[in-house]
Amino acid sequence: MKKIKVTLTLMLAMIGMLVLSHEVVAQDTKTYVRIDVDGLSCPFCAYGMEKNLKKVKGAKQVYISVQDGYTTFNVPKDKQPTEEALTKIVEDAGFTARKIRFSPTPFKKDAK
Amino acid sequence: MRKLTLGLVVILLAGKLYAHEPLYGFGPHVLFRGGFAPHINLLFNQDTYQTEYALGYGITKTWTLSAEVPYQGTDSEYLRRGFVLKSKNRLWLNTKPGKSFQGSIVSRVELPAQDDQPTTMQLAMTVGQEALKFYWFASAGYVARFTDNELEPGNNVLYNFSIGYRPFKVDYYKPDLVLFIETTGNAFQKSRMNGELMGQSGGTNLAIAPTMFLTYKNLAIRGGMQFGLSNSAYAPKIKRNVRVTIELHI
Repeated sequence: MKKIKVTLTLMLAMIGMLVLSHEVVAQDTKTYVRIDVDGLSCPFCAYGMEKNLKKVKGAKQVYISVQDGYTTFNVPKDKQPTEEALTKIVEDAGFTARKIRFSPTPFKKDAK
Repeated sequence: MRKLTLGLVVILLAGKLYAHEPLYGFGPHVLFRGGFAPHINLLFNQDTYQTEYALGYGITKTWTLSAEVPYQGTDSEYLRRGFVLKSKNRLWLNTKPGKSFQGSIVSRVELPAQDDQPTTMQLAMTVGQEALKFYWFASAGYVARFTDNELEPGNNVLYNFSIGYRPFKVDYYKPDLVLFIETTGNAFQKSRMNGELMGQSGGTNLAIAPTMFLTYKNLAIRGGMQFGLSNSAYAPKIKRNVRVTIELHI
């Protein structure tokens, strides 16, 4: 019985380590992008920006906060778009990209 | 005379819709580059009803072009009224966090479906501010009519002013509501019959409309009721009417 308990504990520990290591690997392979957008005041108008951000190669989890005036998404690290390309996308939608930030870790929602 | 009055009413009620703007007036907003905006516009008053089928396209980030096919119906008939081509160019855009101020020039040509109707050309300037809580739009324009008929309807100056209020906190992932009060006014020149000025024509009118703008991401439904407030001389008083539009951005 004791042997079974030890084996189960070891197996759980190994699974836990695998999950954790997978998370670390996943974080390392993504770049998180946050664009502070001026002029965002209406969801209907923001749709054009979302549509074109989704066309960025590898872009996932596009999130828009009209109330706080920003958008975030992530891309594979090797497909990080340039600031110029992102500025153009925002301007084509009728807004202004005030600040663009890249991070290896996710941005906290609603954090300035 | 009745024909002239009906014609002017039709022109007054003609679709002015464009991407994101007041229901009965103009606004400076243009479509995003590469975006399509199909929409249907419905209008009813005591005598007639109108339907418009339209498609807008964002050619550049500052230029939207739109084509409309308007129909007009009464109890006895339902006819295509013509073909409308509209262009809007944004001249300036000033943005701040949660706010934008912009100005555009709008031109519009309506080619009639019937020979006895005038070709209408319109040029207008529109400015406005959109913010998280409050909106306002102001526009003024000139409408010219051209015809070979013995009856030449007078041209007119039009203007409108709208204010809007968003009662609930905006969230991109939830439906959004903005309430508007819109005023529209016209000043008509006198019409001509066989080149002679018609005594019983020309004048001014003014109307007010409470409207609402309900959106969910790229789908917008607008609705409102317009009431004629006043008229002078021989300009027709704007009849009470209901307008509803459904618009999609893709």
